[in-house]
Amino acid sequence: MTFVTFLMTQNRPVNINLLKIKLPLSAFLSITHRISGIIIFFIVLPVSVFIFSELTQSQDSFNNFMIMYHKNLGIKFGCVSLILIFQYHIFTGVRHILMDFHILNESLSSSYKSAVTTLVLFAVNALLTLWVML
Amino acid sequence: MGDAMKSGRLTWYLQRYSAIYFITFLVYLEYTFWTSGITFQFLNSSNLFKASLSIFILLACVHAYIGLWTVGTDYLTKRTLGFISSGLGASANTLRKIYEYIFILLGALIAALYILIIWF
Repeated sequence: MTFVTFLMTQNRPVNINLLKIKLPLSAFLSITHRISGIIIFFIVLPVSVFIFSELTQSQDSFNNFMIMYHKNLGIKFGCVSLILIFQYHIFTGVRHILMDFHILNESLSSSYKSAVTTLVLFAVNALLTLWVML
Repeated sequence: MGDAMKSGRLTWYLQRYSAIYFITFLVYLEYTFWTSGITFQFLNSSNLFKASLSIFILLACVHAYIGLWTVGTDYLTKRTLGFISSGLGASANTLRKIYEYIFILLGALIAALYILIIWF
């Protein structure tokens, strides 16, 4: 018997559909921090190996990559989104560090405020990144 | 694999202090980007960059190992996979071991490639 069927036989309201549960903002930041971390390890890092080798092989391959980057919209948007995912992990990570070392209060209200602040700062940073990279 | 993770305090600090190193490294990169620019010469001849990037990659693998291990032991368990199906729940420990081997191999490969590209 799985946990779900166990709960169903108990004949009481169950709601473990994760898509139906409304996450508090701080929980949303926490879970997306994990998801972005997984994406960074399995996608961003492996792709960055390829890009870094292109950039360092020779001056020609460096220039070629730059030309490709500015000519090919797919490559450009791909790189920008990888960087934005990385930055998201950094921004939410800084918030976690500040809470872990008790620089930020761990109360419910201050955690909500820091979550909003993190998202606002990330949005500003994302606009700056788009402005620099596009 | 689990044995090395039993000292929770050490891994907790390793993950946090590595994160502080990442911030410092990124500030240094950002500073270089806005002052002298990231050029081919910089990537190839700055020893400070090459050394700090090497440390960054090695620490990133440690940081990722701890993070992915945590995610695995949180979600790839008999209980959580059992929500999907009891068969999946029953093989949770095997699935988690496979997942752990995959990210260890991938991390080692990424670190080795970066070190090779940076120094050779």
